[in-house]
Amino acid sequence: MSVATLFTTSFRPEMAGLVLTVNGETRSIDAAPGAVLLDILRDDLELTGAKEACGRGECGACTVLVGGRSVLSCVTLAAVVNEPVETVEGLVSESLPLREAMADLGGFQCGYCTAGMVVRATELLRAGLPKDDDALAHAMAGNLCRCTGYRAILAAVRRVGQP
Amino acid sequence: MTFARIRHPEWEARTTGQMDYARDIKLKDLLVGKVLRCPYPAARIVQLDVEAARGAPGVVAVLVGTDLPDRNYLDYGQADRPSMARERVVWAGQEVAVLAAETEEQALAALALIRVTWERMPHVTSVAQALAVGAPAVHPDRAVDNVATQASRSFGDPASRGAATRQIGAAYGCGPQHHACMEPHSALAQWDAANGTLNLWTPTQSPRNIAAEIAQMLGLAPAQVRLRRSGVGGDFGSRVKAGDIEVLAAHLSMKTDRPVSIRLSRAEDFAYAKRQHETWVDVTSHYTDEGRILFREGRVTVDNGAFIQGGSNQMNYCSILLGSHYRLAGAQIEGRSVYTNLRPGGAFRGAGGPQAIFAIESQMDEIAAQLGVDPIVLRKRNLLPSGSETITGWKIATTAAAECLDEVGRRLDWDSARATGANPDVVRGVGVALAMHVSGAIVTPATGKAGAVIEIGQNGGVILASGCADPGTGEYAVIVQLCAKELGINPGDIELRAMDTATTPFDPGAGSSRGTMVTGGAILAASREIAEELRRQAAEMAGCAAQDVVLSGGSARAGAKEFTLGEVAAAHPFASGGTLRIERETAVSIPPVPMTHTDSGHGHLSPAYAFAAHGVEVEVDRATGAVRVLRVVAVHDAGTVINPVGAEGQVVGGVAMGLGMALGEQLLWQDGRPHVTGFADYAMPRADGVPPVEVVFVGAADPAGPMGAKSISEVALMPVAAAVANAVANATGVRLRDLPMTPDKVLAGLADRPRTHPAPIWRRPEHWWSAAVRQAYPSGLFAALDRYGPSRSTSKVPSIASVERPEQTETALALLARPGAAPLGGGTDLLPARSQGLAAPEHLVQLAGCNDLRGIEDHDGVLTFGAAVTLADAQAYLSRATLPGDRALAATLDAIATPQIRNMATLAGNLCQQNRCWFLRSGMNCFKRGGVGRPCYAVTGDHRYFHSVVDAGRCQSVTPSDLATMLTALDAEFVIRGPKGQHVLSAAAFHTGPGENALRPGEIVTALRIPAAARSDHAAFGKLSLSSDGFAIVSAAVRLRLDADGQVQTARIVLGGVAPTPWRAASSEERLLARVPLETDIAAAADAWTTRAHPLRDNEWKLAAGAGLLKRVLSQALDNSRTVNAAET
Repeated sequence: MSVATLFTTSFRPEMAGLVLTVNGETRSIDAAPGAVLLDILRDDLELTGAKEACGRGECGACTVLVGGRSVLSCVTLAAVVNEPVETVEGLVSESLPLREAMADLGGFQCGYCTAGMVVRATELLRAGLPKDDDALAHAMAGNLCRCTGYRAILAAVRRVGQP
Repeated sequence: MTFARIRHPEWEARTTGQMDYARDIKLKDLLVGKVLRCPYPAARIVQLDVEAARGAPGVVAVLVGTDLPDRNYLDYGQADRPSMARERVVWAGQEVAVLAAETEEQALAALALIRVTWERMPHVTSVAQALAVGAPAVHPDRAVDNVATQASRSFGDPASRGAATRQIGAAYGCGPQHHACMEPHSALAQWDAANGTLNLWTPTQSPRNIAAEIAQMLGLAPAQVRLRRSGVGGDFGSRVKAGDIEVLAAHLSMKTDRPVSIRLSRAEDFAYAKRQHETWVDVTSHYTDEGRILFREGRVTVDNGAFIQGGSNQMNYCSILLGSHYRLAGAQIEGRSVYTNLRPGGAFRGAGGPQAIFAIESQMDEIAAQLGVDPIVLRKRNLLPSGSETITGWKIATTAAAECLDEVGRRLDWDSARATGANPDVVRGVGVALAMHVSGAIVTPATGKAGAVIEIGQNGGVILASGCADPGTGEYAVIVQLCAKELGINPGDIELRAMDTATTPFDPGAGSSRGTMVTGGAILAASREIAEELRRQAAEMAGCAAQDVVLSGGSARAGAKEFTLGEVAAAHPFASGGTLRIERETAVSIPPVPMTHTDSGHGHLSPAYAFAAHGVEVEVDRATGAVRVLRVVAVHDAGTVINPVGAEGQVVGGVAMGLGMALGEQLLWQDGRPHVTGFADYAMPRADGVPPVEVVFVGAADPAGPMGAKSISEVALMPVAAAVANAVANATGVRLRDLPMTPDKVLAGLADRPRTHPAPIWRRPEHWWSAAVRQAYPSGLFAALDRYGPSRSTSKVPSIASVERPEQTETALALLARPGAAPLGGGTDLLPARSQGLAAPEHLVQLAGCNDLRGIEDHDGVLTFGAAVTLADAQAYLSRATLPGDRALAATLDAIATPQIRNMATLAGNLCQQNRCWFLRSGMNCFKRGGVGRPCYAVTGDHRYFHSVVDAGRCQSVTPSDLATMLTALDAEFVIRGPKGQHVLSAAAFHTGPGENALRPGEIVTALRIPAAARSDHAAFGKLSLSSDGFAIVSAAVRLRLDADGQVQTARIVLGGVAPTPWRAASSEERLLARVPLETDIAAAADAWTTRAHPLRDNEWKLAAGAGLLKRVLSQALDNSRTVNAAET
């Protein structure tokens, strides 16, 4: 058996009506009961800012806010989401100072992990950043980045999060 | 010359999620492509039957190897890889068939219908096996000895070694890293039959390499393949040449006349995409008593994989750099790239450079130690001066290597840092390493030239077109900065056209750090030329000399007169329709040095050479072997820095990748089958794993580079691993030569390492059975079970048919009584486990909606958590806890996974997660998955970190829950409800095997209770893992109750990661009971449990690490409570 042959499913179950509040709008979608939130956002709602980079909750690229908390949309069943969803697209204005700081300090490179970083940092900024830099790094450790080495991302978050 | 800090031209798209990567592009009528791969490292296809798949619902096309033209990838010139296997298959993952279907589900279902009869063949899955006498040949027709390519290179004066008085030699190994680009590899192909053009969207930093390669493979003219612009989610060398899915998607699109997308999952990317080649560098330095290195002998051995893709390149550059670094008089370097039945590699940041530097720079410190000379002083005695030529023919016009070293020394406070006195347990040290690297290896005419198009319209708009791509390197920022500077305009005012091979001029793509040098050089030349034309025209309009015209602020100024650039451009005689356009191709001024197919390797390889010295300070835990890097100083001689933001980013990113190479990242195979298939198994640094990095640029402008620039991106990776190894040696005296330096290797290297003594097997009858099975494994049992063992596993996982969200536990229990129903906590394990074929519930019952499962109550001193409380909510509740038991629990929660996982995962879900064995999770049909007829792959495979050392049965895995370990120490109780009512189970009785628990069908945990007495006892938790989110290699949870005299009355010592379930170390507890614990008692208790152990071949080190960790956690438990008591009184 190999990795590729593991991903098999037998039949397509009945579609069910799903109501989600995404970035302030209420959306009704027909979806399979097992559909994950990330696929609904990307395929049905065409919000492709959240990325699938691991598909199993390990990297944070698909991070969105549900009820204000950052969650991994690739391992979240859409059917259990009953609080408002915010994606990077819905945070464009709120995150502007952060995104500018990232651009000024080098807080992104290829951009593939960036949406997840912005969303996760937004949750932290709303709550107030931990004072300690190590604690901030630990709080951002759920988002993998292969390009930047993180320091500029943390500096950008710190720059906008300072009172 | 200094450049401003600007924002990247695509900063808005890249930070708002608006950048379209290949996976984000939706085309009408898009088909999904999937690849069937061989599961064996070597086999013959006896029969391949795709008829059932052809007829399956939704399937539009199926292709096998014989359907495709018999062509091989060109790669770096030694073309031996076909697009799909025909008869022989030579690596586990080689492409056997590919199909396109309407939906992903249909594609996967059809893939499962393809029937292949395999004849398994002998194989070699390591270089050692491949070079053994009588080894089976990977390609008997062309390399009976498995040597894919080789070179023997002599540089300088062979007699110079005679003048040396000393020598030192050793072998240095760099295990294979994975590029792990955040965007997994993907390809979207659209055949445009009307125009005879193939449109292709795929991430790459070398668009023209890909387009040319695909055209070649399809038998099309190069212009018939158009690589389109898209986001590029990382490259690092992995996509400078075509992978396998681009060609396959293209064939499917041509066959079906519809667009086809093939997207690798992360697991597939880890298992089948390109990788770095494992490389061994055997080096001997011949030197004088004064510390002059005169002669270097080297032997480079590269694991080529099954086809030559970058393997030869890696060997070549590594061997040439071995003769180039420092001022040698001579060198003799042999190199081999060896075929194995492992997946092919590919270019990887530095292409053999990091491996050469790791060897040379480690050995420099060993020489320094032998001579009693300071490592920085020794390096400075051997530097190449500016204006010198290496024995390999490299002309070093500028070097600031000495300044790099001095700056590292100054900023690290080198002399006093090295002298830091040792605390017996946690020691600190500093290390330095110096690297040099090309700024673009010019190996063919095409690698040295690039084109540029600049247009200025009459409205003053400037368009810059370049064929380069920017995978995060900041190349787009570099080229707009160069152009803007010459035209006197704002970089933000330039419209950039890039990447698209149909609308941009030729570009060689990034690779060997040539982006700024070659592409930047071409942009600068074209910008200067058009600026000159503008000045000439403005001069004519103003009636002055061209040199009196200044381009600035979007205008041409000549004395008092001022014209807009648009006016000047429109008036230029070459302007057409009001637009002045210039298209130029520019080449660097040095002739190519073909590196491959030649033994010489001699010649000036690059227009300029970059240097970097990195210094690091580390902390080594002598008890557990863990290495922590505290800070990094990275000093680069990069000439002129054109894009400061990008330059710093390249350095820090290179350091992070280097730390991964040094300390944790490694791809692993079990008999040729990949079992590192996710980030959970691959210790890539996270945000809390990269220390502060001080980036410093020194040195002068280089005459060859645009504005004097030299390279940064690859040289930034090169010194890191050696600097860390040198710092570890400085701290501990241990010289580690085999990367990554995981804790097992550090502990093994310590001269006074902790010794552990498992009792002889005859004294442990409970282990006789597993010992017998283990003994039988290598003598045929393993092979027999692996090959012939029947399996009860099925790879079919039914879709989720329903998801219920009851509000009452009663309702939930009723729903769970249905067949195929299972509880859903946060889903963070259940959903991945489904995709790994390890869970198959059709009906999910989410428990988070049951309010009675979400409470937290502190009543009569008993702390009760509802089972569906998330880890984060429990953590938040405990954040102001004062009781030591509560605080230890909070520390445990903080050490679990990542913040997002903690936001989602529930307490009961954490307890009930399945085991995380990488053989099981990568899909192997093992004992745990397939039943008693199957082997446990951990017994013969890599079990250094995540498998049992005590009490294992047939499955060597462990229960991964840190929470379970702590709760067992706290004597917690779990309230369980089910069809037969409610009962209470102690935490100690909950787990029954690795990731297995005592819940019966239909039962759920509803609450977790921590007794009052346990909460006020002395308690602590500690964990050793490979990365901050990682599962425990070993964890220790401790709770001690002292009486008024300070004697231990009650002790709970529970270890995680060592046994199938959280394991109570009774013998350790006994050593503390009825004593006032002194340091000697703590040490004895920490060791006591190890005599019970029954480790596997390579994980006995976990006993020492576990004992070291336990000692610390015991001390911490006692100290913490002392501190708390002190604060209270």
